[in-house]
Amino acid sequence: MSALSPAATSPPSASVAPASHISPAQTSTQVECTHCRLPMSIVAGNSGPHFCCNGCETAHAVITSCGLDGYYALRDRLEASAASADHAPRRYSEFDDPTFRKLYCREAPDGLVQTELLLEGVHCVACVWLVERLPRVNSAVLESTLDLRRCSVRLTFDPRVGPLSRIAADLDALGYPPHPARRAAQRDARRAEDRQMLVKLAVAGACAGNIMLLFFALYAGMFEGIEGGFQQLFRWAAMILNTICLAWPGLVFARSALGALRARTINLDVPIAMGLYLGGAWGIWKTITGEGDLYFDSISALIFFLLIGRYVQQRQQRFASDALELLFNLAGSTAHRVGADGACVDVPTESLHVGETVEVRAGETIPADGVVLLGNSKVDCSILTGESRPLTVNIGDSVAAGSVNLQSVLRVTVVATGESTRIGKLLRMVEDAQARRAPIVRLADRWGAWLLYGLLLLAAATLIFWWPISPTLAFDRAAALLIATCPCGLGLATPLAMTVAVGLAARCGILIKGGEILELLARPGERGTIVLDKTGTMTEGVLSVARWTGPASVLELAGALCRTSSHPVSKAVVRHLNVAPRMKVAHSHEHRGMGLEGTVIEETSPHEWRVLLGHAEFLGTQNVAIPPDLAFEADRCAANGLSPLFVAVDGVCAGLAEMGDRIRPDTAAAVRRFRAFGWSVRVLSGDREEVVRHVASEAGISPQDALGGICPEAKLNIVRELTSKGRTVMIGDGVNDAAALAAASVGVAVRGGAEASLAAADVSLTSDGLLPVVELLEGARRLMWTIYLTITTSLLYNLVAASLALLGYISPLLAAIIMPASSLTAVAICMKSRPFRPSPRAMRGQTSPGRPNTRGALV
Amino acid sequence: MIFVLFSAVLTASLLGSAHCAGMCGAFAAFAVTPKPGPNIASKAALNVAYNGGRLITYSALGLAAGSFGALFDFGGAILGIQRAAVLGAAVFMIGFALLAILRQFGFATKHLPIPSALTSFVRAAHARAFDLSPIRRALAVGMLTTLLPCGWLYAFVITSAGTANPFLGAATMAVFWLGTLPVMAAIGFGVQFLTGRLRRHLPLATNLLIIGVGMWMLAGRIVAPAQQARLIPTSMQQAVDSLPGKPADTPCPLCEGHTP
Repeated sequence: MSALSPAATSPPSASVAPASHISPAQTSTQVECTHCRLPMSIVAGNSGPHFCCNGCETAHAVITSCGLDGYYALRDRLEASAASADHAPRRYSEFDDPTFRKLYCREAPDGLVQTELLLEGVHCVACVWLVERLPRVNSAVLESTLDLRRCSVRLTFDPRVGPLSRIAADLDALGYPPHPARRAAQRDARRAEDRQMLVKLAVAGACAGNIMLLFFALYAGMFEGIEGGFQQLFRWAAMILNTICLAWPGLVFARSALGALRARTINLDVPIAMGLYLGGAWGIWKTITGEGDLYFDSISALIFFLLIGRYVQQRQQRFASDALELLFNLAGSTAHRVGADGACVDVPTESLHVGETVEVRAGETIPADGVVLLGNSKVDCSILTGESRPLTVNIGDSVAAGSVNLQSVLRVTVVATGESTRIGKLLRMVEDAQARRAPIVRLADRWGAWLLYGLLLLAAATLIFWWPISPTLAFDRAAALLIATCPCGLGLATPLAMTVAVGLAARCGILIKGGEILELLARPGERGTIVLDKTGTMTEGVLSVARWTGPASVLELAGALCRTSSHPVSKAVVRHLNVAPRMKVAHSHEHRGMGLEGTVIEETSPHEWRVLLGHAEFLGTQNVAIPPDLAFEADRCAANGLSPLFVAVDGVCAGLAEMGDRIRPDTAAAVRRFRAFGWSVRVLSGDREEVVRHVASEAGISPQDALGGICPEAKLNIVRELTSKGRTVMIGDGVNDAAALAAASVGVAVRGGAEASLAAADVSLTSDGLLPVVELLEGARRLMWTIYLTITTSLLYNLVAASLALLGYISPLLAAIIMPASSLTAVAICMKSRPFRPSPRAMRGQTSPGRPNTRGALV
Repeated sequence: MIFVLFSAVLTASLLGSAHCAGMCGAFAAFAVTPKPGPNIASKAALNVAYNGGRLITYSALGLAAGSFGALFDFGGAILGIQRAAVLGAAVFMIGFALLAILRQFGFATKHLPIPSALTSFVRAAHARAFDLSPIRRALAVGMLTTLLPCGWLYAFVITSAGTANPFLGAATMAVFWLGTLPVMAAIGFGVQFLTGRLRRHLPLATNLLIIGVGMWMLAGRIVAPAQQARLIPTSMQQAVDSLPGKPADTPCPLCEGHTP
């Protein structure tokens, strides 16, 4: 263990002051006051704590002499969690780096440069107003446009007037710390596509609205009488508008239908397009001949509403693919490159090269794979390995990109960057796994295909049957059949029911990326398997005291001593104690890697105790014998994969804390429910074999189904194998699970998971534990019932409508009027169904303080 | 005019109280954290005790500084320097703030050494204060705050000396205390480190404020009523001129024919 208070061990963050600020005689650097954290200047090279004034120096001395230096650790933690971006002033010098320019900026012919930056802290239209006034703040900016939904700003600036770093600093000063936006070109293309769709939607809406107005007059004329000239004028005007609607916005369906026919298949757009264009052509013919009823209003309204559905669907797909971008932000966008003179320069991660040295400060993410050149610290590798305990790294040890440096400053020599890093390769696997995923067959398509073929055949038969009698009658009845039985209800049922379910699930804290996921979760099918990750999924994911053996007073003494240390084991003991300190520590000393020693004094009495805390070997070196009963407990604890921690008071070993990652209370109950739904349950974890088996047995899973020491690559292979045999649901929380989450039939990321796992997963939970997964499975089953009901109703409607149309009881006009009945029925059933019901537990889960996400997400 | 002085002090202390949060935040947090037990003191009571302690010693210091200023003013008047306390305070404040700004802009200068006796005393006093019962501890820690050699605090002590009046000096420090109260009370109630991104600009802003107050005092805009009421004549001619009912152009019978 190492006793660390940031003030004592980590040097204040320093950066070289601009040349204009340096006195001729001395080189100064900007640092923060060790005590009050206000910025100050010191002579370069001065080490140790720095104080802005004598008051701070005295205050620091008083605090440390009174044994209260834990205050600094507390302060740093609070500040770090309050806002990762609420940092010491950032200069954004990496934004001027040529690599950054190449990656994120586009040169315009007139010397101007365009770029897109993601902004933190964007909330409302007031932010739009403020950000778009950036040209008034910085003269180099010519245009600034904020996309409120994506929290990104598009900038056009003149680099000859001012650098991008200055613009970024100005945005930061306005309260919107910027970050580079990756894949900007791809988003530009998407934006153009969205814009096109919106224009089509607007045209369809305008046409439908105007045709509706014309038809009000025509319908009124049917009852009240209308002059022939006006009637002809309105019919022709409606025909022109309808032709525009069919020729431009309606082309979406025609193209889709033609594409399906070219591929020798059939989709919902085929009868839609046939109905629309056949009806349109027949309407034109009747307008020209001047006789018969028209139904341009139905056709144009149909195009408009179908386009709305298409647009919403497109947006949902965008959301899913946007989430993938998060994967690439794991290693951070900025690194502190150490120059030849030892000074640090902030550069984009992409500009790092093998052999360079980077500085990684406490709390920062390691930007590249490397070897520690200078310093020692503890590193949280759980994102890669799933190992819950931080690893100690010293000079010469390897560190991986994406890991988090927990304690003190490290200097690391880069050995691999970008996609060559282990995390880069892992993320590539996630992409590959997502790309290789088998396309999900939509329920409605399966049922609808038969209906479509049947309807087309029926329409053709109707046309052929009635043609010899009267071509007009033949067209009327065929058109009536196609319009009345238009499979809108059927097409609407599945997506609508799923959209409603997804919305309700979100209110329950279950975020589902696509409704079709629910179809897969409704039934396990043959060999359906739920694969659980251990750390953070079955367990709480943090080191804790799993069991305490010994008097409570001894634990209190241990807790008092542990308050002086920032070691994860000490923190776990303090958390377990969970009461305000009643004792003071007169002296404490950490024996690195062994244990903690100190003198604890009771506040209300002069009595003092010498307390030792550590492994058996440490107590042995202090001549403290382990009593047989505690030794037996320690052996049992080790067999269960837990770490024994002994506590000795005044030379007598009096307590044993079993350290480990505690299983969540709802895990066993959830596993029982999974089995009741027909799923088999397995555990795959990167943690040690014995730990995994112990946790599995506590959850009621046989040790044969629990595998430990599994690296992410092996986890991916096992999940792939399981998926090839049957339906697989992978439930995990870390980057080490991300590839497996993507490869499984359905990936479920539990609360507090890494962004990579959230991006790769199909479902993200905002509540702790596995019970939300049980709710998810139950909700999916209920949803399937709703969909079956809707489809059955639609099929019945179509059957009746087709029969009536065939027999000539329904004219095309009446067909167009009753056509929405099918859709309305589907909508009513879907809206009434409540597959997910926000339960008190779910509501509690949403508001309870769970394990915080350790990384600041930009979304 | 005293209203202007108080307004300036209040504004400066309000804006600069982030420094107090950084420097005394730890003490405030320790002082107002209730100890578990049967007679648990409420956080509000501890806050009142802590900030009340600060008010007592701040006002006492202001009283002393005002008295010193009055003496200084009197001495200056005898030497023929009008409003010596104001001038001295203003010059000192401007010098203090300029030095701080220079430091901030990269001119590394050494701080004056802290008397080791003071440091030892402050440490021992705090150590003893932490052993007291919660309310007493909060009061004692609040009172001891004044003993921390804080440049920001002492800039205002000098301002209160500039009033050259013990009561106005105490009132000036009470106003200073009032300005720091929101931030210090917020710390006590758990709102920690609320200064955020503003923090980086605070040293410059607060030092500029101190310069502003100093310049104002130099320019004679801030003159305490006490000084206005009892400006000590620096010459016999001035004394005669100040007599009621004396025509302005009447020469002094003693000075007539002599060059002052």
